[in-house]
Amino acid sequence: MTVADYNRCVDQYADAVYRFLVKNIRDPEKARDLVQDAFEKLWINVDRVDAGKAKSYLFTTAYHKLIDQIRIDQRNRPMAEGMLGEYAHEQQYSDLKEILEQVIVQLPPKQRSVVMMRDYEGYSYKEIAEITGLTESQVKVYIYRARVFLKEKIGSVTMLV
Amino acid sequence: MIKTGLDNYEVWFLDFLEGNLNKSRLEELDRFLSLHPEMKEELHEMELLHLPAEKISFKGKSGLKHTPADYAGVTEEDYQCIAFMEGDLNRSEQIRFKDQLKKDKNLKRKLYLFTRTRLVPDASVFYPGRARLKKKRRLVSAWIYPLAAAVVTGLAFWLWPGKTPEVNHPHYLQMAVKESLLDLNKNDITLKNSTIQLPAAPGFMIPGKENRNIQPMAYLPRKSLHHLPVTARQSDEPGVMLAETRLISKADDTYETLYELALRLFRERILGEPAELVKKQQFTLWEVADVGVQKLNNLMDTGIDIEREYNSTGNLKKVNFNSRLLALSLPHR
Repeated sequence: MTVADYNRCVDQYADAVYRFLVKNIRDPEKARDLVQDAFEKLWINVDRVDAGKAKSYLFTTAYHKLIDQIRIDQRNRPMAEGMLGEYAHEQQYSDLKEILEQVIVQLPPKQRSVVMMRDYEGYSYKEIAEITGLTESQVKVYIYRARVFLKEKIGSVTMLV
Repeated sequence: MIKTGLDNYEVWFLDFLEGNLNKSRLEELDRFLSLHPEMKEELHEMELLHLPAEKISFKGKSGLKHTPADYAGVTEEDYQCIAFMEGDLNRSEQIRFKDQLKKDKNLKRKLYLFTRTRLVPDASVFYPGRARLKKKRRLVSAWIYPLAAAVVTGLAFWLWPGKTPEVNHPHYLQMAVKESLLDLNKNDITLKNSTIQLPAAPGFMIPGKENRNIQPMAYLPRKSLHHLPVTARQSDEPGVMLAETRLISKADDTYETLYELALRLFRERILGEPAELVKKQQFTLWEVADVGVQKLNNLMDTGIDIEREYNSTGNLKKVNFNSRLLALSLPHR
């Protein structure tokens, strides 16, 4: 991978990686740092990474850094997830997108990540499995369970709206 | 053949009932039954002992089975909806599902809700520091350039035809010796025997050993041999070690050649080694190149490798240079 390839990756994937991270952890500053870390790692290994696999490499790095970050956050704020769930129910929803934004954070981190990779980036089960280190079956199960959870949430909320 | 008798007739009967008797044995059995007609009744009773197979089946088989929906921990209907949406159904399953959809309004509503769970990328979100992520060139520490220059210079000196410093330098000796002559037990490997005869002509014999004519790369005053630190490594030839010896002291030598000066400065200023080490030990240009390459590899992860290849008599044959982009082999003259 050349320097030009690397810079092309920045143009093509920085927003996607950032979007994936910021929607996951809901903290733009931390998401920015994680994006920077992911690209820094890519830069260090620029000679080893094939340009065609750079996106997957970036998402793999970003995913693992994200999981680490979530673990750290959970250790520091063990009640955050639960509180967020209650808080979310009290919101006044204006549209479906907003509802989804609110309920997606209630998913367990791994389910949330795989659904995001599936929907945002259109990755196949196999690709997601490679990025996350899960098996294809696990990825599929996570996606199915996440869909049911989201469906139930938006189903009950849209009835109220 | 064992004859049928009153002591073994049960075995014969069983074999008969299972159809295991050949023609001659059947004749023997007939002969026995004609002699003991009362046994015919017993044979008939044994025939009645046959138990017909009953048709018993386990009724709860379907309850033991699992569907992919069970595996995913969702209901069958949910599973079908998601699988349809995710494109996991095959053609016939899709057709069946579409038929169901036409009939079942609840299923239709369910599918609608599932399709609404698909997340849409938020185009308004973008990474604010993209320009800062871009790079113009590989970052290299300022001092890497003199180091790289030293490596290149070292290689150039070393590879230059007829200018190989190891050959011409009076204080360096590289030779092949038998392994048994080296004291490998000490940390600083030394020659066990300092009486190796150095010949006047290029090439020398190891005393008392096979008549192998070994070409030394350079010669050394015999008296100095026992002072020499020796590094040893296995040669291609079995039982022969390559000993590389270097002088510790420069007591009888006051001059400093250009390359010695370069090496000393290199060690002092670039490698930052202690002054006493710089004075006591001399570097070969090969080592300079080797150290330089290692440093380059550590710093820039370049994967460059240089190695020397010797022939069976311990003489340098060629130098190999390997990197990701270039691999070449230079024969030694």
